[in-house]
Amino acid sequence: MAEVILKNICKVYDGGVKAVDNANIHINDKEFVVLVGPSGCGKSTTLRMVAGLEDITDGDLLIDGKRVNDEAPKDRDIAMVFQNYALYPHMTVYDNMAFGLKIRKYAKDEIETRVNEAARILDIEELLSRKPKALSGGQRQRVAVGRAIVRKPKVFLFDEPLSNLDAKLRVQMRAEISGLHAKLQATMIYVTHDQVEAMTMGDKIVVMKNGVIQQIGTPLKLYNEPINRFVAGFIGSPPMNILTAKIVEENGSIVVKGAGVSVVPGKEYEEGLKPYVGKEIFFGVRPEDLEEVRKVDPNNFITANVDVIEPLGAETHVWLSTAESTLIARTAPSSDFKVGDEISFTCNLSKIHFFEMENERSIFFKED
Amino acid sequence: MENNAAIKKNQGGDLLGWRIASYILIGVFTLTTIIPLVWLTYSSFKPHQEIILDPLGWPDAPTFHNYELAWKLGEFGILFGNSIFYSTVATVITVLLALMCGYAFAKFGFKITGFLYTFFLGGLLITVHSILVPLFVMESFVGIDDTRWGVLIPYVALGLPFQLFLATSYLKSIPDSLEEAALIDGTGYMGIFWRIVLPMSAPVMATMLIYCFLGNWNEFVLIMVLTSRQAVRSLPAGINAFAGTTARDYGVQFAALMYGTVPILIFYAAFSKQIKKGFAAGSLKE
Repeated sequence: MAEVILKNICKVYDGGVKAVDNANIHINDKEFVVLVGPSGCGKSTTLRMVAGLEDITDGDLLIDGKRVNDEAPKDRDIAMVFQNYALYPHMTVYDNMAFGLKIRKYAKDEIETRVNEAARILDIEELLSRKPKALSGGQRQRVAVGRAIVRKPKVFLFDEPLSNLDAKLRVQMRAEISGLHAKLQATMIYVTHDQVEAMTMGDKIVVMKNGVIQQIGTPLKLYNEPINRFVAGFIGSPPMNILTAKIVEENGSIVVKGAGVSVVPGKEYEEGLKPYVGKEIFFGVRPEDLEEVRKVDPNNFITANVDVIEPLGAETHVWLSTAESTLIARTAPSSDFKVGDEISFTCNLSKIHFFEMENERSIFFKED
Repeated sequence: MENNAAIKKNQGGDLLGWRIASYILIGVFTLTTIIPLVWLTYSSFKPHQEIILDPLGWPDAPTFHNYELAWKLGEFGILFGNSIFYSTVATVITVLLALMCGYAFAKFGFKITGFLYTFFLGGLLITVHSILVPLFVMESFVGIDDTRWGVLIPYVALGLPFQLFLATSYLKSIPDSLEEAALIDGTGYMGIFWRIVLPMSAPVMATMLIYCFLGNWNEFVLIMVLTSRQAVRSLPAGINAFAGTTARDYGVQFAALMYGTVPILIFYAAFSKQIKKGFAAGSLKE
């Protein structure tokens, strides 16, 4: 297994389109790193550069301490699982899994042992003689993973491997891949646009937008301390509520004021918010950090009207709107709201976020 | 509701009308194709005099004499051998080259790819007749006129544009990720072609092989112009010789024609499924 280091990696396509801009990622040995972001953010391009399927325009890529920018994919000792499985349709499952080993001229016995072992791990032993067209989506994905496993590569790369599966199977395969990581103790780089996959699978998450890495950290670090408004909105489901508000000073206290919003954040925020007095900022609070109150606290309230109620069984999501913004609250399933009701919430003051209006950076973010 | 029913009924009537008309058309076309073939077949078992006296009549005493004579006179052993050689070798080379070029055109996006592909497809606009004289002069100059090479090379060159078009269109539909997976698995581009692309091209390859083989088997103009020795000529040229030399013996001429027709009929019967698929390939998207 190996560590993977991306140093100032850039990818510029013909015509000057910058797909990846100065990416720096340090992936430790045996780490499961997830690259996440919306479509076109450069996450797949980054993965393909690691695989050797895209040329690196600038920067250094190191696998196990060796610069591999100019190495062919086959010489990087990596294996990749593709979104559409990329199984060779004319070969059986066994031949698909054995293909890489045959090319590398492994002994027949060794190939058989490895394929059978991988098939056992993935529970696809009875499928070995079938062709890919006779398999379901989930089985195909298992075979694709099996093809990667048999090679025992230094690094596993996954390019949105669960996107083509239905929701239920996706959840199941998610757990299986996580389990596989624990079993194989391998370095894995996983690309997805699904932040739930990122949160549940990754030891470390890399959030990208427009080719630029926004933040790297553990799932909880990203959830609790997003570096900017984009990460705050992208990580978490439902996403963080971001309201436009103004910082004002009233009776010697800093107050966050907006349409239907009045929050005194408290002493711990005062120092940091002082430079923003009189300015507009983005005020962020996660749906679970809003608590419905019958009696309005004048120092901590958001008042809004109910637009939509989504009962999910274990909890209820309530979509609300103020005069300027829409927001969502996660409430108990016993809540008895009706569409059109005016409801007041208090915010959990230890979990509120402030982002600058200009560059959307978190005002209180601290680097580790 | 009533209106809808009336419209449906009316549409049903129109449909039936069209169906009857199309069946009549197909029937007439089939008969005009089959009747001469049937006539040719049974007439080939009649002596010349009987054909003259009773052109449409069934043979009084069917005989294989015409076939024996035609085989001997026309040296059909040689002609068959040459036809099989030209058709097989030219077909294999053409299809293989077309798939290789098609793979490059479909998968390698070089700046010159578009121009080269258009250049190749331009070959579809070239008619055989327009290049006969220059081709003959060129072959004479190079010294390959009246040789097997002199036939094979133009067969491959003239077959390539259409075959390349078929190959490129098909190969474009193979997902890039398969190629990328093979690259990561450790194969080079040649390995990808032989181990992945070629086996995956089996459906289009069947169509290409059939069309190419039939085209080469039936080819007449080039073989007539570029060859003069019986030793290097193929069936169509050999059959044509009967029109001049034994024009007065229709029985033998018909037997010679049967020698050219029967293999094609067997070929159609054996590969009818693939040929039909080939016809549909252009009209349906999988």
